[in-house]
Amino acid sequence: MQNQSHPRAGQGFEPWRLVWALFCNVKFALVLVGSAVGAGLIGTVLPQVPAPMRQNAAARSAWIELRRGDFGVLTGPMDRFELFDVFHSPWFNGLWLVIIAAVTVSTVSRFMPTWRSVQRPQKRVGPAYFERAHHRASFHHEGGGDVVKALLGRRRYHVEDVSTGDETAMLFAERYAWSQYGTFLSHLALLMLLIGGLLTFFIGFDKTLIIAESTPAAPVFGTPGTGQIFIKMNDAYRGIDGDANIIDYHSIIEVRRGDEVKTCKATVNDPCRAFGYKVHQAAFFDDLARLRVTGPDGAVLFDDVLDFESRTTTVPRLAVRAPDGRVLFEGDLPQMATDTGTSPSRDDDVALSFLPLTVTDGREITYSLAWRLVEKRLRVVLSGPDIGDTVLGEGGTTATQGGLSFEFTGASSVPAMRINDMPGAAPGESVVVQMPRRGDGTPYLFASGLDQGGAVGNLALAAGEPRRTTAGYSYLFGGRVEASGVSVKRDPGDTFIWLAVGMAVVGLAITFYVPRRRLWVRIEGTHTSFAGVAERTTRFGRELRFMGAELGASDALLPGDLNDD
Amino acid sequence: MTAPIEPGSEGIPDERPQRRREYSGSASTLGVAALIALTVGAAIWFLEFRGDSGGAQGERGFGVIQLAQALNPTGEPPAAREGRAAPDFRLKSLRGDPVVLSALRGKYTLVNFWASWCGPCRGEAPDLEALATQHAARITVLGVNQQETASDARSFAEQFSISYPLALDTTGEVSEAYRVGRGLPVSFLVSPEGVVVKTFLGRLTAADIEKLVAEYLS
Repeated sequence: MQNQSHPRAGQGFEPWRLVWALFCNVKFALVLVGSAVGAGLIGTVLPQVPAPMRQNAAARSAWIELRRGDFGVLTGPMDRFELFDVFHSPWFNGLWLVIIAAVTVSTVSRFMPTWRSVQRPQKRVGPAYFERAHHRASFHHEGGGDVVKALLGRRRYHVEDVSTGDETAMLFAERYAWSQYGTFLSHLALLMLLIGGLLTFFIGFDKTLIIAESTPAAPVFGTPGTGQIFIKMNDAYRGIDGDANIIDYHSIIEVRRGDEVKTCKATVNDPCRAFGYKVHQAAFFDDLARLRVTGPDGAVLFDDVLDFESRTTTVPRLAVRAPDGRVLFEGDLPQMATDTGTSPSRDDDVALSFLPLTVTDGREITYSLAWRLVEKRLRVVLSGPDIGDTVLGEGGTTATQGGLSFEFTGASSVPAMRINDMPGAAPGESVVVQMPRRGDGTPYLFASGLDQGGAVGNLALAAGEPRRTTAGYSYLFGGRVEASGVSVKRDPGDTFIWLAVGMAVVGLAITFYVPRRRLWVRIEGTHTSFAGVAERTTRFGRELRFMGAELGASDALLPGDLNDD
Repeated sequence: MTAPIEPGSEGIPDERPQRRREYSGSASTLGVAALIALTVGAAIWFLEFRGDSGGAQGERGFGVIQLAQALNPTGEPPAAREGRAAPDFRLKSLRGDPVVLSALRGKYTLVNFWASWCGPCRGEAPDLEALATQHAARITVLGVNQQETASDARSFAEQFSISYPLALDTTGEVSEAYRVGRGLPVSFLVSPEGVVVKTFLGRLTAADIEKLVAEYLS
């Protein structure tokens, strides 16, 4: 690699010239890149201060103190050099700024020589060049300059006669001269890549929010301000086909900034674009429930969405039929109590439930069911006055003496959570809320641990039907709520990175695969000399000799030229 | 073996011009580099940040307002800090009429920053309503909604049957002045003289309110 000064450059001490020389120096470039790689390795190998702690001096200090166990007396100096926060340290950022400056200056400095070479190439060369060029050929033929011109034309050379009028004919021929810009383009791509990466790192934004339907719009940024953006979930959708395969996820969202509102659809691959941000669908949840609780005096005590956060319990799904075929119960049977057994680890816990059924003669019989997971299968025992203790096999049907048939259709995983401060809970009790489904798939809420006039009681809540406990608390299940996780992104660097990748591919392809040729021809009588420039090939000389042979010269080829290699 | 060719020699061409770098003076080499950097910067601004000037627009005369010296008993600049005069503000209420903090002096004011998306805000709303109605003679609860629409705030008020005044901080300016981030709710108890006497971070529980009543309103 060569650096040169333009003749117009001044003489004497030129500080800017020294800076330029440093930025264009290959060894300096290697030092910079090596330093960046080293810093990246340090930042990867050493533990780094977690992002939320970075702005909190006390939290950061506590985190650093914990590192003393690993690094001992080196912890202090390492912290002073910001080795625990490499990617946010001024020296790391400064290093990248210098790299960008060096690549910019170096790239800019390449342009003029390349441009001149393409636009104003040296069309005449001295006789010595025909003797010393890397790629050359010399032979005799009778055809003269016109035949050579015609041959080069057939080989897609642009040929120019640069003879000066004496007896020696001079030709200048070029093929794919523009391909010299390939190297420049590759360097420009590197610069774009660096800019894109830094933009993404410093001013990119990426945050995931979980927003449920029927809840207020959620703010995107951590601090209030005029640029604050709110996102409201109008519809979180999961499409399922007839075979229960998921065929679509999307969210219809409302993005608001100030008084400006944009409503759009966000999918995983096709984001909603608003106010310079992209909102992608990232996740889907359907285990949320809207619940409203009012106190005995009518005051609203709780009105919010319960998020089960993927917590579930396994319950049996049952179908109970009367002798005449009427369905008396169908759906998930919620857990109502737990027999904690004797094991301290509680691995012998048994879930309990009760199922009051009205039989044909009008009597109400309460059956009890107990179940636990044994070797990943639900083992269910049915008990009743007319059946004793009967183990229900999955998929099997058991009949009682009264003619009722119990079918255990399978295990069901239902959303469940414990709430410690639920209004209306029995004294000293926490409330367990489950969201099982009926036989037709309709979800309902089942709350246990409620105060039912001094006793601990349960309440089944169908959507839209308020129920009141004897203690005076009223509960309204507003229905199951769906939610989407949405990823809000702004990546100012992505345009640059895509552009850089494109430019790099094109630049490298041009550099490596476009067979650029530059050729000078000297014809003196029957003696023709070729001298040329061709990068990335050592066989241009052979190519020139073959051209001589094609012109009819018997002395063009050298021994070995006809070998296959 | 031939001697290497030196470019620039008589009649010898430069065989690899695209590998050459050229310094043609500080202006034309470094200056062009700087110009490119500026152009790229302008392109980034144009492509990515041109539209950022939009957003919530404040209305003239609303937001944080100057507290008259005569109304500042501390002699120090107002700040959302205990012992300092509460920064004064004028915001629109849900009905559209202006609410001015300093106009509420004469009894305690609990300035409660909230938003309907904030779960703890929903949790404390019934307790704040009880405080506002049961101790109306001695305290005013003023809810300051952070940057939501009037309809969202109204829905919240209806949902929890809120009767105390609610003001809309549409630009977030008042929230910023009180250094309220997204960690809502935050409440400031302001004395009848306009001085911040207590700051409550997070949800005000019934126990907190009982204590507040015992300490300041009894």
